[in-house]
Amino acid sequence: MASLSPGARGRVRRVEGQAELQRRLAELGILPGARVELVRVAPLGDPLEVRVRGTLLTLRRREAACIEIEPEVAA
Amino acid sequence: MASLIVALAVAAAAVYLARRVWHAWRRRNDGAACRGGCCH
Amino acid sequence: MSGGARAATAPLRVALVGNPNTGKSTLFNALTGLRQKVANYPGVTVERIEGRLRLGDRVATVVDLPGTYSLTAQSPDEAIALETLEGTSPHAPPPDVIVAVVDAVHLERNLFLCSQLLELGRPMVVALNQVDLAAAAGLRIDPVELTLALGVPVVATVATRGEGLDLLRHAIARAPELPRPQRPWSLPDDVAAALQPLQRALENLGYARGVAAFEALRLIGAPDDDPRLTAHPELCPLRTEAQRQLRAAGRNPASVEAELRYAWIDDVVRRAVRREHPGRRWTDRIEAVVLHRVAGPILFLLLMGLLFQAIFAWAEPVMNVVESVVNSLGWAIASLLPLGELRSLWTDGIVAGVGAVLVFVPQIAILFLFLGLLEDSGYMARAAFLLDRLMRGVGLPGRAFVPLLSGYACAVPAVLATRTIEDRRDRLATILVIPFMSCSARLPIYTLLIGTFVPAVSVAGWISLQGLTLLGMYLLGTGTALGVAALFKRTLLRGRPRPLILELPPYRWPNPRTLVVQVGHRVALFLRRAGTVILALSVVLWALATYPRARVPAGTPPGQASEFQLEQSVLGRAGRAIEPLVRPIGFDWKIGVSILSSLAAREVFVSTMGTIYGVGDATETSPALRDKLRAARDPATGRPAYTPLVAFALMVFYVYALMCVSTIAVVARETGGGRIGWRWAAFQFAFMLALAYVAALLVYQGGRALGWG
Repeated sequence: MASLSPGARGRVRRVEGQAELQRRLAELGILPGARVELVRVAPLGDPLEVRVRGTLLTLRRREAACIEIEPEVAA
Repeated sequence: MASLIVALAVAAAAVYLARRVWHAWRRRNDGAACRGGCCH
Repeated sequence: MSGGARAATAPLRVALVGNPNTGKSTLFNALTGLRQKVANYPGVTVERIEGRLRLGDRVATVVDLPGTYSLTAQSPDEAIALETLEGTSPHAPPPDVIVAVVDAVHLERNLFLCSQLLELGRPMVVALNQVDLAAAAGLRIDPVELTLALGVPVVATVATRGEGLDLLRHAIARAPELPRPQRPWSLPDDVAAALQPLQRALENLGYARGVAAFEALRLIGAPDDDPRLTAHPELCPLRTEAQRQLRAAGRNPASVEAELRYAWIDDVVRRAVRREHPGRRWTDRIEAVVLHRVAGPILFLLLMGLLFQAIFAWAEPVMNVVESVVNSLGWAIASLLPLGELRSLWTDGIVAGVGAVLVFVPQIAILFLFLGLLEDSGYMARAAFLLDRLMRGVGLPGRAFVPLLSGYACAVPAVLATRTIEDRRDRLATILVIPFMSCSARLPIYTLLIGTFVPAVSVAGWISLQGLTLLGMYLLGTGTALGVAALFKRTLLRGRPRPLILELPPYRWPNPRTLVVQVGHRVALFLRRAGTVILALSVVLWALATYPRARVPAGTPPGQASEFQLEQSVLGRAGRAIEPLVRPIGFDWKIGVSILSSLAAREVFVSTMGTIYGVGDATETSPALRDKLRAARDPATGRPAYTPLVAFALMVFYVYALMCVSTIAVVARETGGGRIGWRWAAFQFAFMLALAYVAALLVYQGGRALGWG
């Protein structure tokens, strides 16, 4: 997910990383099949602002990198 | 008369402070257990 | 079939639970009105807040639990919520009714916690709050459909406007009579089979069936140090086995619970929520500016500058008013008292002591108001977002920004606010450096010294040198805080950075009523705490500075007479004894003694100096004390006792020294209490004092060497 550009959307394919991180992301709705959108990037490049299930979240780059996204091609 | 009042006031203040210190000393072990916000 | 053998007239225990940012506190205020009791120092909703509520002919006690996303506790405040709800907290009995506050705008995420709460099997009511904002965002939610889906009453509310509250109160009163809620969906067979042994073991431990099922599912994904597992280690092998079985079935144990719950949530949302229109996007435009690459940080600096300005410049007129009121009142009563000891006790002891404290109320109020505005409007989370990278450069999480900022007001609530930081080491590092953030109690010291010794000139035309000096002190403190934190994180408290997952709440207009109530509570608490201890201390200090009375040699001028008596008093002798310690840094015994007494609270420094100089109304802007300080001469050499260099060294000393028992006490408690906590507090006090001494030494001796003596 860290490699997407601002405004890009997609569906979560997989979530990797430590079990603890996976659980916390899952609790906030980042699960396989969920639609996510990368809204913007912070001025210093980190962290990222992400929208999932209607909520805006802040994720650090290293954690966002654990989320594998299947990008939606803009119609 | 005035001296008496002064003496009483000072004694009261000293006692008050001593009680607070003693109270805090008695509760010094209430660390993690105070998370619930019960400590004053 | 209502449960329990408790009389119908006993108060009903109600607990408010919900995600952060759901308007839970507003709802709490609306339900309990002014009948709240804040049981601890105010922080960022991490303390226990209790209130009372009338439900028809019954009374209920309402507890506002800290906001949490899930019952799997990550931070200390979330752990409190879980303990209280399950009834395992040693400090609070389980609630009779759970009120789940759900944010209508973010229903999906909020339902996660809701789905967990349902399984606890306690009477429950859902308050669907902020429906007005949801409508504005184009969402229409059907409370009836939700009620059917959840199995508990759902009441739509708008806490900020007081709508829906009567219905909510009614629902709460009736809740114990309804059938208990339970899990509204069922486990897939493979999951049920894998969890069966673990669940049975929990039931054997005494948990009710529903709660055991909930715990079993929760524990599968919980971290290894989950409180339930440490309390019952025999569950660990069962858990490991269950995880193995789930993996074999192709499932991921870390996310199984979330997957199942969200599958149910998706279904509920499909039934109960309708999107009517795309919703207004003005908040997006604000967001684009606030978090802009360039504009964002600039806006942030402007806001901080505004805060700074507000605390000093704007508070000043009000502070002057308070001061003159205190002085007039003090003088009015003093004139009623007979000349002598009693009047001196009143004027030099009590008025000087209490007055010093009252003068701060405007500043504290402004600071908390500002912080409350920033928090309620949603800006704080954005600031954390902007600063995260910077904070991480220091080794702290972005979330540490709020406690550190609170430290500018007072370290005590700031330390409490660190409860939102999950990582133990990050939290400890933050706690250890919070006192470097120049708290409001240092302000009188800075103001007194700057006002007395720094000329009121302008630099570059419009920046006042005095203001610049003040800014310098603040920057010194802040810079040190960050530097020391970095040092700690690199040495003693080294650890891996924890993930930051922070919700950015939607922007909203802060509710004036909630804000005023919040600020009012904090001010009241400040007044009470400071007013009692400082009052008593001032009286005792006055006594120490007055007795034993010595016989003054005949013919001594009055000014010197009081000075002589002062030196013969207990305080004076103690001061003389420690004078050798402070001489190297340019201080005399009077400053030494005032520093000692300021251990009680920093502002006591000013009142002690006032008492020592025999001035009745010595607050920091009082001309009399300022003049006395300028005129004071060293008896041995006849040269000025205090120079700008000494003042500077003294200010630098106070930037670093931890002269505040309240802070020491709260740090001891929050770092674990008992031996461990007090050791950390002692460590903090020692290293800060050492730093203060060395810094003052460098400033004074260095300045002397450069010829500025």
